[in-house]
Amino acid sequence: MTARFGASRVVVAVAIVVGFVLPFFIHNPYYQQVIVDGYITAIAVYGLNVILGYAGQLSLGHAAFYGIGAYIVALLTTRASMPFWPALAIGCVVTGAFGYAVGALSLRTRGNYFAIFTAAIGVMINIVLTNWQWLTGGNIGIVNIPSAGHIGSISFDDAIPKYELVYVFLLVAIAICTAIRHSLFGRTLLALAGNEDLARAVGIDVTGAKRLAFVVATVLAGLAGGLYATYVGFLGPETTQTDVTFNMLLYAIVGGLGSTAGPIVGTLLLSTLSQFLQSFEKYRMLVFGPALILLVIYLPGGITSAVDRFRSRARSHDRFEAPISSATESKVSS
Amino acid sequence: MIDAALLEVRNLTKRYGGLLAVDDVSFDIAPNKITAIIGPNGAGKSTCFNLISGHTRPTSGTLAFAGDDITGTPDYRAARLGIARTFQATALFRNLSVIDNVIVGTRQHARSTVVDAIFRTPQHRRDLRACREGAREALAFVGLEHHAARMATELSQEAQRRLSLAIAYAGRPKLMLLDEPVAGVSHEEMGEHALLIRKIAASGCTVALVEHKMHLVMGLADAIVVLHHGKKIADGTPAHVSADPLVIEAYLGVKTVA
Repeated sequence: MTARFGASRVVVAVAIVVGFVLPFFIHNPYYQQVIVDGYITAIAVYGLNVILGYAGQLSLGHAAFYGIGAYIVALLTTRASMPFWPALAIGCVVTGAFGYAVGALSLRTRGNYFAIFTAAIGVMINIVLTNWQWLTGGNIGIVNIPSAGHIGSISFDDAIPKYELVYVFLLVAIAICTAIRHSLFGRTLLALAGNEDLARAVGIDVTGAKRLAFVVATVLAGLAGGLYATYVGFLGPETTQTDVTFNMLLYAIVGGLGSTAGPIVGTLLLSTLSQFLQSFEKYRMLVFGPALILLVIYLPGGITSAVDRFRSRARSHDRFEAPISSATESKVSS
Repeated sequence: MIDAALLEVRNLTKRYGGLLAVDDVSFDIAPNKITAIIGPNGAGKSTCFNLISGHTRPTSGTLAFAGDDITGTPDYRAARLGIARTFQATALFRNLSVIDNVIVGTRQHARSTVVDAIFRTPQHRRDLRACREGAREALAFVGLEHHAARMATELSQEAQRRLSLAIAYAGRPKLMLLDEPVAGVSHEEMGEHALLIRKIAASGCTVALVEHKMHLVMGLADAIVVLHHGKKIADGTPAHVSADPLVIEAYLGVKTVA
């Protein structure tokens, strides 16, 4: 157990270092952009992992919250000439507040209601952003969004610092999700996803816990959106379309719902794969579709579950004895 | 009765459309005793439990727990007040390990928030340690301490029953409502389960249980409440209840001459 835990720590440390030095080896700006786009999406997918992977609630409006964060950062840094950092903070807070309001309205009942409600919110926000011309620029969107400025002599207009900025936020998102996963709150979310009646019976405010999970999820979506706006430099309403949400869901599910590495593995793999299949144009779905079906059939827990399965095979499968007499052999004293 | 009742049920009624599932039922649950609620199928026993635990709101009537009116208190609040319950079909968190199942049961006493969780504050570390210790004790109490790291689903049916008891017991409740606690337990292990239930009561936790198996109830319960068609038809000691002609009629279907 300890040895394996130590080994996985080494793997994680190596992965973190590789991530940091990657832009020094990959100079092609197109490849860099594909990777950073993947990181940004992965941050939002980590949010999805909290609400869907941990709490078991299907949000179909994730791209809308991503869009809220993106538009707030874009508008504040262009129209209000606000520096990036306070704009990003405001973007996260406002997106989280939206998430709280939507959660308060839609998480009271169980089942599909939340999914339908968030899907509707997603469509509504997309329509508002497309048609609120004077504020959002409509279909043209917002251009010339400034970069994150500079810290000391490091300018975020340069490729490598731009990469590292997003990368550090990705690590923060992973750290948050990992901390939640191993906390009492994370166990609470997993528990209510597993058995809502029993969760209530042991004193869990199920509605409140789900709402809190949704706030975390939407803040991460807003953070990703804000980073996207400043990284790409322009922003249109297509970032909030429903198919963006479905891509995020796909990445989360393929990577492995509820797993710590799932969102980044799923996002990087699928987003780069679909980039490299671009040359097949519409025929790429002929490769993509069957590959996904095979994955869902043979690895329903996602790619990262294959690793877990391999590990647990090393564990013994002996039948075990748990005699009840050990609990009652002292009999009753009174 | 010398002690004040831990739970006072008064005129409890639950109507589903035209059906009176529980009809004007009143009884007391005495502290530190084992009270059994019995009755033929469809008598309203489980509904009665759902009303007491706050899972379902009563149509009318009142519930007082430890002297406080708790009528209409939602289930998770009732749990925090000290009313724990188990379910007829073994209810577990099947996606969690054995120890995590029980940690969730203790969690109601922890005060740390999601912010504590994200920043891994000392408060959260203390809470997690306290929950884990509480969970270990509860697992030892039911004899599952050596299986803490397993997935809940890896346990045998009978051990899963004990795990569900541990989840409820870990919250240190004042009252445990056990809905058919030995359903799915083999005949040989039933006696041990009865001892475990007695051990819970002896540890200072009042027990109320719904059960079909009469021989178990008669040997275990200090007091019995008999429901039939949603109405209470008798209550008292096992000896008293089993001699009651209304009870005999309800169970055996014999018409007594009026």
